[in-house]
Amino acid sequence: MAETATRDEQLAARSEELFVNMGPQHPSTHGVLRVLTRLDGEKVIDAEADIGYLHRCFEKIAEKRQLFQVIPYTDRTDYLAAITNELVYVMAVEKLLGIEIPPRAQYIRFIMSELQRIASHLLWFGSFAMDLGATTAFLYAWRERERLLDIFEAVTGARMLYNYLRIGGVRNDVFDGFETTVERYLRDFEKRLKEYHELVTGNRIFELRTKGVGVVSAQEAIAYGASGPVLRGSGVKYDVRKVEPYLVYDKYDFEVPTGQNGDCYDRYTVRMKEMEESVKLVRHGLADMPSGDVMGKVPRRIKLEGDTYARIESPRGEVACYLVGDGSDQAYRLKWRSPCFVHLQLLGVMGKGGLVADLIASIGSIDIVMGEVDR
Amino acid sequence: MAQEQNTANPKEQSTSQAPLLSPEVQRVVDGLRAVLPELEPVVRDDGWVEVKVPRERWLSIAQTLRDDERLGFDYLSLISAVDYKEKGFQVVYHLLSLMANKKLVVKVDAPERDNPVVPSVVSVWPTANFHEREAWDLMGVRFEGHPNLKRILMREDWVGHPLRKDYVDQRPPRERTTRETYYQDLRGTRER
Repeated sequence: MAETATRDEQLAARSEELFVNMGPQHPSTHGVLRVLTRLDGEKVIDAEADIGYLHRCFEKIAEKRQLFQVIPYTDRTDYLAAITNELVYVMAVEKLLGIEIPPRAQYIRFIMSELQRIASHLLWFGSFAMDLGATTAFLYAWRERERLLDIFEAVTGARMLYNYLRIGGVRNDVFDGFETTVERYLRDFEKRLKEYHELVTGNRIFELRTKGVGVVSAQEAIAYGASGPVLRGSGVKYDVRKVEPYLVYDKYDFEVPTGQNGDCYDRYTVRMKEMEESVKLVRHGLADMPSGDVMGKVPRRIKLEGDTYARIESPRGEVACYLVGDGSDQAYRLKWRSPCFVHLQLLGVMGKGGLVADLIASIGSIDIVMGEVDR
Repeated sequence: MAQEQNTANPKEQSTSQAPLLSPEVQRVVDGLRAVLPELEPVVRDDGWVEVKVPRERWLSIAQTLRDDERLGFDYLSLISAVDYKEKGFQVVYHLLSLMANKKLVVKVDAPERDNPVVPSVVSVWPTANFHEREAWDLMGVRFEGHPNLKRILMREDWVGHPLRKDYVDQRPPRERTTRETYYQDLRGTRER
């Protein structure tokens, strides 16, 4: 008898798909990201990213400027890890021109990019915890990051968009007492990192929100081109710093932390461990920093010829730059690989079968910067 | 294990050209010669091996590159489209074999100026989806067989492909505010 169907049966029979639009202006999407979701009740069937709201024609501009004029634009692709972005561009140009970089400049680049990793991960830690409702962590992480930005400001003159690296070296040497300042910071930071773990890592609500959420298997991560903490969170031990060492990474031994399940919690632990490794690397760098010039010999007349592919491990993953020259002093073509752009394709994989709130956790765990996605 | 091999020699490659290849490069070259003998691998001095692939065969070759265990290029790092003016377009694929640390550049030419077509490799490497959409959007290279080839960075109603060398901005020129026009606007004395 159809009329006497129970309420549960009625509900089951009325299952229909609901289309929900998230963003582009929404605090959880870290910028202007629009996510198109298909829902069945509260369950996500499919999620697709719609991007392009921040497109600033970076690649076109790079073709129209002198080589050194492009460096400030690279800052603005991923504005939370500007040094590493400058680094990959400068490395590509130096590779094509065959320029040697003096050892001191190498070490300054090395220390700065590891400090940048700490700063970027700190920001991610704060905002990820806040996505999940832990506002306190955000404030503490910001406090530490601010001290780090002070160091950056003292070295480069700017807090976030540095324009510090040059083709052939760095713009200026570090200030007197750089070593002790950084060392004092690192000592405090290590203590703070323990506090963060106490605050967030063991938190039951946090674990419930992240464990088993947004799972990406190792096969999926590789097939979808994931890199950085997203790839390592899925258990693939791959780090460009190890595989293709640039700067002085081959001189120092460091761990490449990996997860097992590929869920948000694993990506979280990978990033937290990476900060510890970065602290060690910065210490090594400070201890071994040689004296000398910070700018190498750069020819006056530049002829950029051939093509090259430079890649590095940025805080977000593998940033790479495909640079083509046609014999003039400008780039003929510059193509940027931004890890977050690639990672956004994983939204469908991460979100499928989960709740809408879990999708927020997944987006947060990718650590997206829309400036880099849209370039 | 992969790490030990890697720390070995990024430097050596740049100094020694053909005779002394690093083990990874040698394995790429050997694998290509064994599996796809019709391709002509070129060893670049930055440690990458480069091949040019005719686009008619690109999809099947891509499948082989990923699936054959002697090659195993499971990771697509980047797709870049380059506009070589009268020579047409070139689509460049940077492929990696993650655990074996093998690196391969594949270049596929699309010589037509007006409607360059290259087969899509989304079925081989799902990550190609966004990269190909971007190449279509900004460079106007059409990827045949792509499940959802639409603009990704530019607006959906945008005309033209901005990264092409012959691209002309179709938008009406914007008036620039100068000191004169600013005050003329304030006083309402500006001639239109």
